[in-house]
Amino acid sequence: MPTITSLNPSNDEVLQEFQSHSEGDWSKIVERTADVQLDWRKTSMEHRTELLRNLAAQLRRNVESYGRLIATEMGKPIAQAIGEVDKCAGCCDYYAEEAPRQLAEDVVDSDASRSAVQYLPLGVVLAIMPWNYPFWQVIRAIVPAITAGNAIVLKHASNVPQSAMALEAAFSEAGFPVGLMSTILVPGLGAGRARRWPGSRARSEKGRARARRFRSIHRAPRCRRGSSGRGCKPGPHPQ
Amino acid sequence: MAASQARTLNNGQSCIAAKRFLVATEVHDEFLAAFSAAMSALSVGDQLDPTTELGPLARRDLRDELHDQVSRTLFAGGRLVVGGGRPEGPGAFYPPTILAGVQPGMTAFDEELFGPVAAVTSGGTAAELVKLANRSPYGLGASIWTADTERAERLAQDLDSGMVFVNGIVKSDSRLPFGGVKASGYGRELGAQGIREFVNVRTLWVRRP
Repeated sequence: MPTITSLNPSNDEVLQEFQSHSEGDWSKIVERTADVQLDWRKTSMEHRTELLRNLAAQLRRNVESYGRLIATEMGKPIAQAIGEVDKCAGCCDYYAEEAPRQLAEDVVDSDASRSAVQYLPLGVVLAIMPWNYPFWQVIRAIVPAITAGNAIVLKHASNVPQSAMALEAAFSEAGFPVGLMSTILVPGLGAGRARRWPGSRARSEKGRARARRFRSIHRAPRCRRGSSGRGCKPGPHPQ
Repeated sequence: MAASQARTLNNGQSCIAAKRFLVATEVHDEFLAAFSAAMSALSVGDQLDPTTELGPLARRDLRDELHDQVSRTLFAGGRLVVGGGRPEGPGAFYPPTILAGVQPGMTAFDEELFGPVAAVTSGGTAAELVKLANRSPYGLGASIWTADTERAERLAQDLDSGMVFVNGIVKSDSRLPFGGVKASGYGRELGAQGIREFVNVRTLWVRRP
């Protein structure tokens, strides 16, 4: 299997190498995530927001070490990396406060005895994320997604595997169920296959040319959502 | 200085970094002088040194791609004001760089430059600058800098972008939706709109017997 390498772009020093997951490995991870989501979607909003506050605390407790990890792995100045982690904690605070209202059912008058619009989870969301803000890009997408009752499979950019693993651990340490947020370590093509996996209900993507190429190959018929970002032009999508 | 920050934060590798600077003719020379001074003064080096303002790019191939974009812009007639060389030695460093006289048809105007390279274009009236700004396949963020904020709000109506900031650099904020138009993607992140990207909007209709 190919390796995924974390290196310091200041001096080209290899920091850590990871064995990438085989197709068999990540298929199991995606299936486990789908199982975990079936329980997670039944949890109360109170429970979810409590865990979000734990995650904010976890990020703030480790702001220095996470900041150092980010800076070392992708090259941004250390103060900005620390600021990024702090901003992630703020995003957790925001959704802990606002999500209950944002996802509350809207009652709408119609010819029914009762009609309403409800905001229900989609299922497993595949998050393909870029390296430029290794923590923030992940947090700003998956914190709201998880709060809405979804589970996450994260395919992070291939040059920030340490950040990906640290984020997965942070969610577990905050008390989220193990497997609710799972990282798969695969090069770009692997993500292309994962995107077509029928259990994946949505995708949130940011990425550069490599991701764009695969997007144009795989039309991702079951995928509904993308997200904006650098040159992120989504392929045609249904609906 | 806001312009140099907007271009070089995150080592210039942000989707919302300011990449094209469209400047009214009457303030162009003054702006370019101040911008050049600010970019030249940035301390470049090891990202773990707390005094560093600009670290290396994330990968060497990205640095080489950026340098190629600079070279193509200069070949097409852009003018190098500051920076521009690809340093020897280890790491993926690239110096703070300013290209002036950048016009539609040049690489630095038509493509996104993901690194500390600013493209400056001088234009005439505000309406002409807005037209130039819209000559892009992308439309994520824009910022307008002026003492006349009411006029800026009017100009903002004509900009093809998902976000417009007036007298502030474009940034993300958990409370406000973030996203773009044209080739800058679809959907929104953050805010109430962002969380609703990840839901099944269910219509429920019940008739009581």
